[in-house]
Amino acid sequence: MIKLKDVSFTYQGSDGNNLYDINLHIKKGECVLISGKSGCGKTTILRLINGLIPNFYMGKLSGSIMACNMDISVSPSYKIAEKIGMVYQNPRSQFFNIDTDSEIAFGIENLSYPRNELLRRVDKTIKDIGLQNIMGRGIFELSGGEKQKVAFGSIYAMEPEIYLLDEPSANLDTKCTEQLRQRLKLLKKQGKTIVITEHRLYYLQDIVDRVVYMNKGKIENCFTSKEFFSQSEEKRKRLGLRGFDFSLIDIQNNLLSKETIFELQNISTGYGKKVVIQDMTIGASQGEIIGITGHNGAGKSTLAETICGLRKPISGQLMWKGKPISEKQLLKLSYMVMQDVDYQLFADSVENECTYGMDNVEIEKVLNTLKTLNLLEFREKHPGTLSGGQKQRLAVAVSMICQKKILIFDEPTSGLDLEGMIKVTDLLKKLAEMGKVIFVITHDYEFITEVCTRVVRIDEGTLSFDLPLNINNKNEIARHFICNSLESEA
Amino acid sequence: MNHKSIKKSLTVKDLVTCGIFTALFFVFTMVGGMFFAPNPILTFLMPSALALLTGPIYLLLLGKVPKHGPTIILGTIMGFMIFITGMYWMWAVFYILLGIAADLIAGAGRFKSNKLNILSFLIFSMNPIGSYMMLWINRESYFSYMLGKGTEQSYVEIMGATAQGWMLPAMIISIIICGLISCLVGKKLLKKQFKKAGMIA
Amino acid sequence: MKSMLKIGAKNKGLLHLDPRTMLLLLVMGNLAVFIMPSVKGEILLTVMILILGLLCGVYGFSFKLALIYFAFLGIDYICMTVFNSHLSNYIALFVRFIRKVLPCGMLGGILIGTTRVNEFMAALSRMNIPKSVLIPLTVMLRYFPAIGEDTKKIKNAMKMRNVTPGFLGFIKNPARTIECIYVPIMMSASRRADELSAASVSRGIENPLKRTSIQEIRFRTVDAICVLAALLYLIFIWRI
Repeated sequence: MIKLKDVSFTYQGSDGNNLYDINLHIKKGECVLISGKSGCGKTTILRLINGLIPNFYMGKLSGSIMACNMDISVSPSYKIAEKIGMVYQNPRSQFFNIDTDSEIAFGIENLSYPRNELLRRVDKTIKDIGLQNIMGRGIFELSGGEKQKVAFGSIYAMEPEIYLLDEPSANLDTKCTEQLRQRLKLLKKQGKTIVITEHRLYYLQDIVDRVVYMNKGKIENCFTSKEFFSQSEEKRKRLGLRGFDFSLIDIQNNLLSKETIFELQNISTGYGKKVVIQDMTIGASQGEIIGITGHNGAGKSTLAETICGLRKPISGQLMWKGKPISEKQLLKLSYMVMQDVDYQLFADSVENECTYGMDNVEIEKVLNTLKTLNLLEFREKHPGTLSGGQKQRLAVAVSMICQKKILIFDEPTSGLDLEGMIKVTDLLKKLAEMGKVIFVITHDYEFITEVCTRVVRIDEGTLSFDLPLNINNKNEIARHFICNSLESEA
Repeated sequence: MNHKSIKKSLTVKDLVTCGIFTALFFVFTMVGGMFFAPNPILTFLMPSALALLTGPIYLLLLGKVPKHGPTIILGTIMGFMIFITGMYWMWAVFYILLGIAADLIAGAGRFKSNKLNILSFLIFSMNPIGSYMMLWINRESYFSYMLGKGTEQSYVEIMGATAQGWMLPAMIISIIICGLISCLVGKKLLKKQFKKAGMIA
Repeated sequence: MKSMLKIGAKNKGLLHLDPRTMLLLLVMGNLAVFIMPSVKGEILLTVMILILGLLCGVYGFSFKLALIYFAFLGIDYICMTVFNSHLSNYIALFVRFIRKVLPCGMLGGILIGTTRVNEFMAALSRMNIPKSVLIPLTVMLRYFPAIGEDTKKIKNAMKMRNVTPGFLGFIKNPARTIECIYVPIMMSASRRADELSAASVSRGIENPLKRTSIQEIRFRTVDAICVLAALLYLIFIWRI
């Protein structure tokens, strides 16, 4: 079905080769996982298969790529689109329309099928993917999981032979990831060929047939699914891969520290009259790392905005060091590291970013902070040219120079490999040692167990539980991340 | 082996880029328009306000798509939006015509010449004059357009008083000044930020 | 086969017109305002458009604009008859300037309020508008809500950095405010342009054949009636 022969590729403007001597043969109906660390060339392989390379992303290509009996590098993009569909990592960026119906029909409309056929396919897609509830809605009111569904549906309607999925679970909670798994099963049943790149591996165990492990632009190893998932923990970590199986994760007993310094008392908040967060009381002390979890759309971001002082509570009291404070005062104390860090970087160099909007910042302090966060060598560079992790650290550097006391991280590990996750973990622990109060919004169970001292779960705007992370609570917390998949299995 | 030279015609990527930047252009135009247009004292300043706001977007669009086409597309779509929101139709026509003119001017420098790009922006920014155009080209037919046939003479006199001959050159000069300021800021931003970030060549 | 799709109008009005009809009505409306013989004719036009708006289910917007229209008419009258000074005349003139735009503005609002993007695109495509205009236009309409999202995030980020967005911040430090607004918005626009075009290329947008549409567009009897009414109106005011 797919045959890559001696393929090497270099992106335009890139120094070394991005892919070397790739030889890969994928049979019809096979499901192949491409794994490896960030930047190993996983996404580049997907782009080769669907012809975006070399037609869209320019560069130097050698070798031959055949898929569905087409020579990909010379076939027109719309011919390839009929046979090969790709679901992108961030569904938001692939939407061409503002309502769900149009988005699902977008691909097949491009291929100029007659209207009857369009209707048949859209209906089939709605039924197979389970989109009944979100038809006719605006794209912008959908939650992350729903967006992913629509993005998938838009490709499904095109009925391609080959599905390419680029980190499909990066922005999904446990429940939505499970739904994704069901969709992949459906494709397998239909005999479709699937190629997935992914960092989170646990949900793919019984889906994939073969695993390709890449390192620095080369295929280093090919495993059968069984070989791959039965590797020892030690070997997995050496390969830089995220956990396969959550039941193995050992929750460390992190000690709770002293007294409460920051508190939300009976806070309700929302948009206008619509209450999103209801009567919530959460306290936090210095050095704590509190994980905030909940389904996509449960109200986590609204809570985060309240903690930051960006949103005025409808009722309730914000407390700092035992005294009530206004949200404006809170805004001076707290800082959020956004999921899209790009929005909060304004300056033209890393160093200037650190002093942006502030007067009288000592240069020494800036340099020290950059050094602590391993950013010193990039001080002249434009923030836009940094990697995702570096941008995150730069935002943290800014918060440190502003002397912020409360830090909130929004999905800091989305799309990160093991190494990236460990870096974030270390960073958070370091910040906790400095006495910051830290909140982390995340779906990432592996990450929670590595770093959090407490887990707060929100369900439909109310506090579902607030538990310290220790052996006694392990099962209660884990239940929300793992058992979901078991339940729907039954 | 597959090192393709940059195509001269517009690719899908170029068209999408045009669409996104036109959206920005429209939003900034609306912001300026909303603030200035419904105010009797500021209304004649609207064209220069629009020139002041949109320069960086225009220059970045030319920087991202240095080919024939983007300013024509920008002009056409802006004209179309002006038309369907019910604004005076001459404005829409001006948008399209000036879009073509701007394309030719910037094209004369292969879209790389700073001076010509700025000149093309200044010419393009003259578009709101379209909505006041009748005021000067053909006063009488404009008055009958504005006031209806058979209006009292006093109306016409008031009209004439506000549409003095010096208004048009004053408007053009203010557009040029504001447009130049906007372009200088835009050029600085482009050089300081976007070139450094590798977003434009 | 009964489709599960909720195809059709955005609003639940009594009427739903083909977007092409709406565009034609807009042209005729502009023409009518251009040749308008009297204030009475203008009032008739506004009332006709108001009725159309109500039939199409665009209640709030139509009422609001009609209300503004008649308020302006009132201001105009008061200024010219009661005060009749230089200042009041100027105000009257200005109000009249804006008033002229309102009937077509109302029509435009009805068009936007009742037409879905997909339907609109199908109509334009049927009118043989070239892809080089159609694609940017679609992208633009889709990108508007994203600009709102982006601006909100950028504003929040600015607040956390103690850089005040808005007018006050601009007065305090213009260069910084300009940079804070333009740079992230334009950066995000550039990135989204790249992502979106890749995603649309891999979904066949480069197909040279004409796009089909799941949205059915068709001239119906109501379209003919509306156009006919508009035509009669035009002849009526032309003859006066």
